[in-house]
Amino acid sequence: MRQIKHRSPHALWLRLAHWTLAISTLGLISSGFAIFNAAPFYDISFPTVIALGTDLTGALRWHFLFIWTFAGSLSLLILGRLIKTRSAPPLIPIRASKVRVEIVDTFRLKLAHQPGVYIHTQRLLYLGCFALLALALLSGLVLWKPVQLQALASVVGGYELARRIHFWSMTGLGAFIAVHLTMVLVAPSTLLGMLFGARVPRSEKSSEKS
Amino acid sequence: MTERLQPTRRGVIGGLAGMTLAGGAAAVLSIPVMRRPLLDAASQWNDKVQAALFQPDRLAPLYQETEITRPFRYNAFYPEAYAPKLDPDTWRLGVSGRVARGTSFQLDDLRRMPQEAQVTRLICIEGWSAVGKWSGVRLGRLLDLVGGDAEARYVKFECAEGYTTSIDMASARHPQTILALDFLDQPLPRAFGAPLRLRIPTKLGFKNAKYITKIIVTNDYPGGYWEDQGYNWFAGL
Repeated sequence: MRQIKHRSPHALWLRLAHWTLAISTLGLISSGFAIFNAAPFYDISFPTVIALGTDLTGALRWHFLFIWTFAGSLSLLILGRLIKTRSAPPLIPIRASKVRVEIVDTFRLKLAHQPGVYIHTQRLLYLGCFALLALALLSGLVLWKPVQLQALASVVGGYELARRIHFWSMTGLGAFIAVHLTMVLVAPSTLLGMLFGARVPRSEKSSEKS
Repeated sequence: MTERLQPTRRGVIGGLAGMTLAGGAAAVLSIPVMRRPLLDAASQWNDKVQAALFQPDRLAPLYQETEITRPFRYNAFYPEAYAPKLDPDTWRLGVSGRVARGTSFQLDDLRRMPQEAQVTRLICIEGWSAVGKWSGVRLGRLLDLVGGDAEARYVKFECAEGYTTSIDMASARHPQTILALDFLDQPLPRAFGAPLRLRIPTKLGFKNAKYITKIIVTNDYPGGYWEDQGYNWFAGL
């Protein structure tokens, strides 16, 4: 028993990056509400109580503070994943048939959570989340610097289209967060892991069956 | 089979410390006086990054005349009915500060100088944008004419209704930064800043001062109407 090897699925750098990214994303979304309200391109208006900064002036100040913590923590997460590819749970392959079975199991509450292994639905959702984060970042860069980064702007389809892409990537991230938080409610131990870190005995070969 | 997560003492201490830190920071930042220095510092950091990103010779994209937004949107911190009504015959543009020859220009003086036209996108800090056509005198040419200190840091604009704004020297000398006399090939209408406005497609809309009466070259940070209320100063595109 003394010589069991452990691995930490939630290392300190990972927890730090995750929570910085979480706070930054929520800050960007809620200040984004007030920025959207200043010149809405859809016939909706976000309530001021959920809009960080309240008005355009305050909201922009928060938004352009959080872009830095957002970019920093997102880079750290992506970089960390690339460096730790061997110890991080794989995000591929994703099989549609597996995803279908897993979703049915989830709704039957037959979900088996295995620390350190992503089921195919998780892979799909996390990859989708990274894609949405990247899209929000790129469209945001175009909105911030449509002249200096005009090459990127023309790839995205110009300033006005970038506003819509920015809005919809935010909406997509909102949907991801909703699912993410629901799953935390279903498996609360994952929250403890992400908050306090933990280690699990290292098995020689992590099995993929659920 | 399910593996059990085993919390470690170090992990728990780190987690609790992080939560305390985040909670404390949130509590402190909920007080406006406490968050102001942080947000000011972030805005000044953004000024620095933007100045570094700014390419003096990178031109704002040009549009076709068919892409011009009609009708063009009126925008100011007051309703259109309150917009200044300036007499073009008595109007003067004063240029002062760090210039070799402080000069007062009449409208005709500016009309006689070489005119440059541009069809560019005006982007408002609120998010909306509109394409328009402006023509007038390059600000860099006017500054050269009065012997403006090209090493000075700021150019400040003072307007007839009390509005002020300021830009960095590199942006002031950008080839597309013009003192516009015309909009859509006609003298500027009152709503859009008659008789003279700044048109600077490398900056957000609120930097495009209307009803200009004074231009001041200076090394002292001049701020501006919106900048003093918290809008980011550099506001570059």
